[in-house]
Amino acid sequence: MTEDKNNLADQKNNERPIPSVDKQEIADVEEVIRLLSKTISTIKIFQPEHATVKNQIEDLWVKLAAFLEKHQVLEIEIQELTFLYKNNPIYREKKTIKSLPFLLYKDGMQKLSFYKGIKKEELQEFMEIVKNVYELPPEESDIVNLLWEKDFANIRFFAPDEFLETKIGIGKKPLDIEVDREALFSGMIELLSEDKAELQSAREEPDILEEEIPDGEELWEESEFGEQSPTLTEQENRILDAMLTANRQVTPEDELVLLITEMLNLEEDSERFNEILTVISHMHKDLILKGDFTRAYQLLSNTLEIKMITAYESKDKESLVNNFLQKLRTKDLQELIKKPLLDDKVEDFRFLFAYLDLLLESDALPLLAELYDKVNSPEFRKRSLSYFKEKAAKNPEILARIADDSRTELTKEVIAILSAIPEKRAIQGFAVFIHSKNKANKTEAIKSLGKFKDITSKKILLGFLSDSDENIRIMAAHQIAGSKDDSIIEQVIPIVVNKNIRQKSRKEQQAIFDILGRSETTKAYETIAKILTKLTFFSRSKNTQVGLCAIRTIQALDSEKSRQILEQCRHSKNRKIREACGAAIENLSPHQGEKGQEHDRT
Amino acid sequence: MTGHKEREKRIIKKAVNILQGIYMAHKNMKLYDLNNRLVNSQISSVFDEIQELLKSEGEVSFMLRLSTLYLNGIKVHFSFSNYYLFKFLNLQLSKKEIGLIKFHENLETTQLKQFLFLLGKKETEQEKLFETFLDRLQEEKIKNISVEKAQSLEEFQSNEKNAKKVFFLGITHLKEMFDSLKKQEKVSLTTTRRLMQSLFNNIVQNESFTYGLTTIKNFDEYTLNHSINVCILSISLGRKLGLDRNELAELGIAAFFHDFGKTDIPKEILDKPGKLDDQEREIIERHPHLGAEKLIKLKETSRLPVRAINVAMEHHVKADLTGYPKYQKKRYINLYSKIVKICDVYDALTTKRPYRDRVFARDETLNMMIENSGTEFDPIILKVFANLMGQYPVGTLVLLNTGEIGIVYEANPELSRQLQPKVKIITDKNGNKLDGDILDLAEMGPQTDRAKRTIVKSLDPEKYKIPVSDYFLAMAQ
Repeated sequence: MTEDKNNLADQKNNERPIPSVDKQEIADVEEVIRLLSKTISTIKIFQPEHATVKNQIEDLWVKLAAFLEKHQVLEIEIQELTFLYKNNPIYREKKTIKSLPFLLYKDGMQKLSFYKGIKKEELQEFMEIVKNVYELPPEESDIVNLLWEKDFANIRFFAPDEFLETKIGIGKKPLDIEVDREALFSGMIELLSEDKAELQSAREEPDILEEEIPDGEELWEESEFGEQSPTLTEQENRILDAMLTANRQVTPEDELVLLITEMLNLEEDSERFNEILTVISHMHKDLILKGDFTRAYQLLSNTLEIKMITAYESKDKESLVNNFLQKLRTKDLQELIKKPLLDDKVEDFRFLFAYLDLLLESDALPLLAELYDKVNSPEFRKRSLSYFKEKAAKNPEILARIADDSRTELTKEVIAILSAIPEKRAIQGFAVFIHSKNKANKTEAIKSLGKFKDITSKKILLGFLSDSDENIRIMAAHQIAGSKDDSIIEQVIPIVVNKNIRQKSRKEQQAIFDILGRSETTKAYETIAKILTKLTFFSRSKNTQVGLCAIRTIQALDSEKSRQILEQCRHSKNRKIREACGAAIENLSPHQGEKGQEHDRT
Repeated sequence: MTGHKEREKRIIKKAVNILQGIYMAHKNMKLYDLNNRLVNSQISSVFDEIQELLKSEGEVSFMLRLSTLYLNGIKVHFSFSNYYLFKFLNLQLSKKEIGLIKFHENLETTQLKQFLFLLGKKETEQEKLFETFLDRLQEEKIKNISVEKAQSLEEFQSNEKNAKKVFFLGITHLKEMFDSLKKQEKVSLTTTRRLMQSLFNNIVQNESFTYGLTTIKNFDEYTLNHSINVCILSISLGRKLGLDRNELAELGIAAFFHDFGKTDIPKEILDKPGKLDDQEREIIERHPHLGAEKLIKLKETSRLPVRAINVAMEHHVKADLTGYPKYQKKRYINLYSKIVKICDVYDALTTKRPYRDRVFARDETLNMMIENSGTEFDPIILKVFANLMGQYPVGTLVLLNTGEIGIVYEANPELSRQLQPKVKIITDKNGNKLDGDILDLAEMGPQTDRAKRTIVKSLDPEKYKIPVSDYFLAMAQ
């Protein structure tokens, strides 16, 4: 309605005889409506649980209840921008966008009444409906529908069916059937002979409906209601109740997931088949945004099942499903998945992992790794760990790849998971930590590697000997020490003989020599002996330092072979070496023959 | 369960108990003297229930607003099993223009008995019913039960004209929706939902006439007319089954769009006289899932209830899951689909179609459907539907033992009186056409101990060329 028309309506209203109403009554209604409008303005901004909203509803309810106690009912007539009470304008808001009268008027409501006995909860729910209407786009909102569905006990409205005429068949002649009353109610109908015969015989038979009329029958209103459950047995009533309950329990979303799968299965036309896939794609997106991974999983797994079924009969359909899945698996999808998880929208994590497996396959792990420290839910982390374990059991290296310096917590868990898998494949996973920049992670990895018996763990530990951090290098060396594998020693020897060893600290040099020494292999002895014999009077102190480390290693071995090497070097031209050898020989055990021989066999 | 929910549950249970007692007392008072032991015992049990509630609640007030009953402000939900209690009270209160009954402290059994007697008593005067009732209460000095007149605000004023208008608006709206959707225009379902509200209101206020409108067949296009009929019948059936308003609106929308898939099927196939060949049958059998596909697309841009897609897809699936389409995974049929299926078949069989030799009479159709109960139709829902329609459904053309011909206007909901509906007389005993009264066949003849009129048989309107729907439409002119 235009502004002019509105003025006209109001003008008309002004022309109406205004019955005399107590001024106080009008003032009370105005106050109630003012509070109503104020509360609605507030509820548009704040949540219903907000203290301001609650206080305002309380105030409104108190005022309204007091009015109703006195007057039984508050009936408001609704015009485009005005509320009337007993023909008196009591509220007006010119701007349609925020006008409360207009909000009701636009949906054809003509009267709104509040009755005595109204509960605060009713008022609260009424407010929420109004709020919802404001939030919906105008073409989707209808306050009359919402109030009707709610069926309040003490808030009623009047919205005549004429309103439908403003929405349906606009500009068209209304459909109707004109009945020819003349033809209908004049003339004759001749019974057909078979019907005549039946009528005759019925008249001759006694009346099957004959019954006694109790005394006083005519005094009573006729019963026009049925007996208790006239057609259904008790059991049938129970089944009916169960049917209704079941119908209320199955969510529309569940129905939709099942239905769309069936549609996909039934559709033979490729174009339409593809259109359904497009709908599935939209549904899938909506479900993910809602954080509903359970239904998203069902939707996709059902779609895949249909693909398998149809693959035999239609390659077209199979390739359409493949395309559909391929389109889903984009980087955007990962961003889409992250959103509800980061926004704490996911209530049920049970199918999240199955969903990720289904759609992202190996990409699921990096995504979960990225989210592990960011998602607040402890359940998410707990279930993620179970998922990681499950994945690691199949392919530990994949799990190792998600370890990252920036994710300390997660990496720690990854190391723990890998440590618990006594398999070569799990050990190999630790290799990723060689290049890690996180000392704590590397420390954990080295400790775990040290616990494995498999030679692979030592080989990986060798990688840590080149680490930039001395402590890491030393720790790795300690974990390698004891390995008797030639392949390990062969890789340590170049380190020992390299002149760079002189730059290392005594502690590190010692740790590296210990690898050789504790290997007790011939090659290790030979290398040490060679280092010691090379040292001369002119050797630099750093070289001498290396030699002294070698002597300590040899001495620690305390074998016959050690004694031989020490004896050889006892006459070294380097004084410090000479003296150290002598002291070491002094400290060797007196009976080293057997042990030495045994070692010599290595 | 919250305190509020617990109270609600308790109040509803009490309401049903009290109404059950009142109903039984009412029946017994009709048959026996007021001092009869059975009457007294019944009154006493109602009295006890009221007293108990007065103690816990401080008040006992039954309020009737439009089609809803409240006890102490709590909406009383009725299931199919106790719906008759609501109907009973609704009728008694409406006849006396009562909107509220309040029982106060110090209530006495004698007062309660007298009050219930007066409530059931027939008044000869048809004016100022409430005022007369108040006078009676004063005469009997009933003080601890007060009544209030039904509120003047008429949320809904149903009459035949209005019901007819809504019916045709429904056809127009469906046509507009089908056209818009064919053109892939965006549609809003708020008007559709509003239409369901109006249909519901008409059913509640004027059930029989609204059913009568479903005798209109093949108006404009078959599918449009049929869809509105199915919509009305489905809302009625859903209401009897105990669905709430929101559910009924959704059911109505579902029924409204159930044949949407037929819009793409060539008319030559839809209306082909005689048998369809295999290819044509295949096309016809595709309409449920085609409709569902269209609706699923509609759902993307509107607030279409998912159940509407269920119904479009499943309204030809039988209760034993045969029929079409054949499901791959789904192993159940949605409740709304079961409801719409029954109404769909009922309306279709009672409609003249080019491919069928004859139109089945309404009672005959119902009997045929009952034969397929359990295999094609859900047996319980069908039973409720059969009860709703009565032995002689509204719109059935009947021959009376007087020789008069009539059209069933209102089924008698009492099982024992299903053969005695209300009938509009359209010819006298000599066959002269007339605009006769609506007569209650349960009415007894004076001093004869017998019903004044009985139904001999239902007649085939086709054979007599009687346009049944015109009689209903004439009431709305």
